[in-house]
Amino acid sequence: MNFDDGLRAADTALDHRLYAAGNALREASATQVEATSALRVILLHADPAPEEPEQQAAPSPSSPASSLLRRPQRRLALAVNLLLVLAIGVGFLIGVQRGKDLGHLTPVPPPSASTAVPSTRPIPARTVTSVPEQCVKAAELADQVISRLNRNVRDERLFLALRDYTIASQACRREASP
Amino acid sequence: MGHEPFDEFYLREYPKVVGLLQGLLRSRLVAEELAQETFLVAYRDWARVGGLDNPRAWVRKVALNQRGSFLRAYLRQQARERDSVVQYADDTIKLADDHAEVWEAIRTLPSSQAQVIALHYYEDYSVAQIAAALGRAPGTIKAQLHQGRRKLARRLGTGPDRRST
Repeated sequence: MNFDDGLRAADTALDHRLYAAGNALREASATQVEATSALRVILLHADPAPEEPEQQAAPSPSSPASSLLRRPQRRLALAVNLLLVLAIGVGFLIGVQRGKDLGHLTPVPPPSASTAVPSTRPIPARTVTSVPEQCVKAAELADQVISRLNRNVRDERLFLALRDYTIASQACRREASP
Repeated sequence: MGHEPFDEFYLREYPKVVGLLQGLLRSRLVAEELAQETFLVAYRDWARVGGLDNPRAWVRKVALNQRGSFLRAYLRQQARERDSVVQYADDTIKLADDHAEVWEAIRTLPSSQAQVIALHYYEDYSVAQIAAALGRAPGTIKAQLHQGRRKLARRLGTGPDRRST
């Protein structure tokens, strides 16, 4: 066998080895990678394209996984709405607290059904040292959650941050309420 | 003709993309994470992606881009925090030693050559298909395939001792 024959044989051997490794990995992936649960994660965390919500969210008889679409979207929308409401509530409570701390310069009307909507009047910027720590934490966590939502990072960390935020905001409300 | 439903496409292609990424990255967890990100992108734009001539190639291109972004971020983080790397003891798709050795060797190649080798030998893509998937010229792909194979032959000890070129 001359040198060229040796080269050809070596090329063929390398080809066989590479194809064998490729096939082995492909087959191992097919048997070892569990796709169904990962699909659930994607559908749970995804927003379909807004221009075709009906088409994408409509469950089809041939694809039971598609029926998962609607609930997670609603859940996410609910979570975002809840977050906004809580943030507004926290802001309102902090405003009330500040009003008290600043003495009687700006009397705060007693809360009633008609005053449930927070005022958009800007609060004068002052250094306030009595904001409960939990409220600061809640605000920071809210920033994190909003940032992740803006960047479409909807993974476990988002849900952990949302959970921590909920706990902190509840603690904040407890501390801030008279 | 209406395009394939996303979930059918996903269930067929996801394990293959995980395999491709695992072959190039070694970490199965990272491969799965990046594959999920990839399919999330596809899912969000499925009305368009599903209608492409070759959604499979599109998904692989995105997956390989995700890998590139991940590696850049990973290396940056490693440079900052050398001790914070988490090692997973059992974090690979199990392969026979001989095949695992081949993939280890592929991972030592420069990124562009490793991609081309993986697409050719793992996905059975032709030079033209790889060129289309990666958006490179067929001549470039041929050269990268050739260079990659030459290095692999040396590293795997496959071939005569004195190889020309």
